[in-house]
Amino acid sequence: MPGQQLASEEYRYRLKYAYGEDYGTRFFKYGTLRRGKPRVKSNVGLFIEESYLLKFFGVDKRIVVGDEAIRYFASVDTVGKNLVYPMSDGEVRRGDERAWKIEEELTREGFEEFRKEVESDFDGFYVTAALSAIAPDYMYERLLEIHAKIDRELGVVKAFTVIPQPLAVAIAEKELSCIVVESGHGNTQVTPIHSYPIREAVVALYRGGAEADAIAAEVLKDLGHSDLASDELAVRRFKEEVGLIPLELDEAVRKAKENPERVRARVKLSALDVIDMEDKGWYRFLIGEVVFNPAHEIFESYRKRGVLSIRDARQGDEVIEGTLPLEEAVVKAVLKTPFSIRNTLLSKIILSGGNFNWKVPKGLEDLAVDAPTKMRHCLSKRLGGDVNVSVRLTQDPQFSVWKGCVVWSLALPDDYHWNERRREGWFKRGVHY
Amino acid sequence: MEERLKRAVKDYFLSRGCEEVESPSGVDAAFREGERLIGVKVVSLDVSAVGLVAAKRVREAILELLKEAGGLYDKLYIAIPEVGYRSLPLPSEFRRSGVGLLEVGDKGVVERVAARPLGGRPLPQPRARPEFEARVKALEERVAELERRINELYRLLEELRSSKPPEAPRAPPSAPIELEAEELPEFVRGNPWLVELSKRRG
Repeated sequence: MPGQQLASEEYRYRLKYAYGEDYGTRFFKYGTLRRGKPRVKSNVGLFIEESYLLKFFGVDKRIVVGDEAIRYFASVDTVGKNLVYPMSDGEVRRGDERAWKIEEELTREGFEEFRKEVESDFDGFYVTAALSAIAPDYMYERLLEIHAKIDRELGVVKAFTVIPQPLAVAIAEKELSCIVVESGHGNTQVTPIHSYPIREAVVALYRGGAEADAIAAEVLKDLGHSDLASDELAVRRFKEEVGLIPLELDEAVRKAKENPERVRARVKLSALDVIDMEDKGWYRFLIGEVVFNPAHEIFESYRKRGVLSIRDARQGDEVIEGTLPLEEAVVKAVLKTPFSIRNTLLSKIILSGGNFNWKVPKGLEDLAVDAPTKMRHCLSKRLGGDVNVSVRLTQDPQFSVWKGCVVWSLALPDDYHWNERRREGWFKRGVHY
Repeated sequence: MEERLKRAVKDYFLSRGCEEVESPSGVDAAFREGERLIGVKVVSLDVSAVGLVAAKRVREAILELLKEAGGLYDKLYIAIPEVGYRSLPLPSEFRRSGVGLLEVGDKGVVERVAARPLGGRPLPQPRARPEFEARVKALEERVAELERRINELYRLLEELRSSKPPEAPRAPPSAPIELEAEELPEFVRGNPWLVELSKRRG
């Protein structure tokens, strides 16, 4: 019977102790393969100034991270300056020691949680971390330092490596050759993969969920809810409830204005906060469109007011405009790959990340579409209808990066040490740290 | 000539602070240097016995000396008149045998090749102080205990080796080494990356 064969000792060990870490701008997802899904913590930290009151309540930590930080908000007067989101656009700045301290603490707490579940054979986890495809080298180095330090303290990191997030998505999706378009809060990366990530073909855009949030906040202001527009959680919920991806923005807006009732939305964000969009339902399409094409003229006034200030990305000698339409970014990436694999890549485009997870309300199917349909439509317009373009959404947008990480931890040979040219392989206890 | 050589050798060792041993066995002269015994065989070579003949005689003398006196002395020497290196076995032959070479000439005795301690004769044991004896005894017991444990570990290791099939060369953790399919999460089952990654080598 297939799959009945007993596993080798090493494989059994890996099944128990393969560990994944997805360092996202908004959330840190971590945990062992055996649990099947990761635990999630907000990628945030709060530095607590010494306080007798906190000590009285048994709090002697100087830093709290993740969702625990929120518990201390009420006890801390100066939240603004002490609350730190360590990542911006998928990156932690090199010299930002407070930010790195938070990443270290989040990492350590993860291991401390999972260390409680190990058995007597435990000699450390096989840890694979995922970073943005355009994360600078110092982030790799710093993460290695952090893991080596934690291993010295806790003895929990037997081997450590880092892979790019889009590669992790391809692994979770079981695709060896594909294009992964990963759109997180702070950036969107178009990464062709052909057994290895084709690094020279990666196209990164510094835009993502943050831009959709910015448009949603402006819409809230225009609707007379300025108080909610400054509340991050309220803005996010509003965006998720009302945002729509138009197949064709101009046509969707025109039809919505002709018949406002069709796209009118009433959202109850809390018992006291009910938002009625009345005849401004057409705004909904702006929220979904901005990730795909912030260069559209309809966003001109937002750009002028500084609501959308998307920075350009520099990759080697090339500057990639932050407002580049998404289908152009895909074409740009494909054109940098070998000719022989271009058709294969275009036939397997995978969209990953929360920004692509949009609903299509019943009755609006002629105006709104899901993200793969939008992407397919834009690419067909760009390349012509006879090109075989296939786009799909990752099955598990929230956890696919973590899933790829644990598969990597499970399967990468033990003696495959870090290879600087390929930028993959294990950093191992006793060899590298 | 032989007497002249013996006299020169005696003078040489006495000048080094050695003490002559009366009636030596297996050698022509013997000396005590501290706790060590040094034996010397004198080989008188004629002026005509040069070249290969001389070398052969000396080689025979070395063998004879080792046979007769190897177990009686700590160091052995052959003493010969000055005939030049070309008439002698190579220095490496002396070094391999452990026998040293003394050359007796007009200017006295020259040690051409140093003798190597032979180790054939047990050295007289100095009397150890009682506290050292006790410590040595304790150490001996500890070593014996460690040896016993090592042997026990070897035995257990052998048992383990014989009870388990030899470990296969590290195979890709894909096809041949699977857990039951239902134990694996869906995203791991049948994932082509398992095979792909298992091929990676540094």
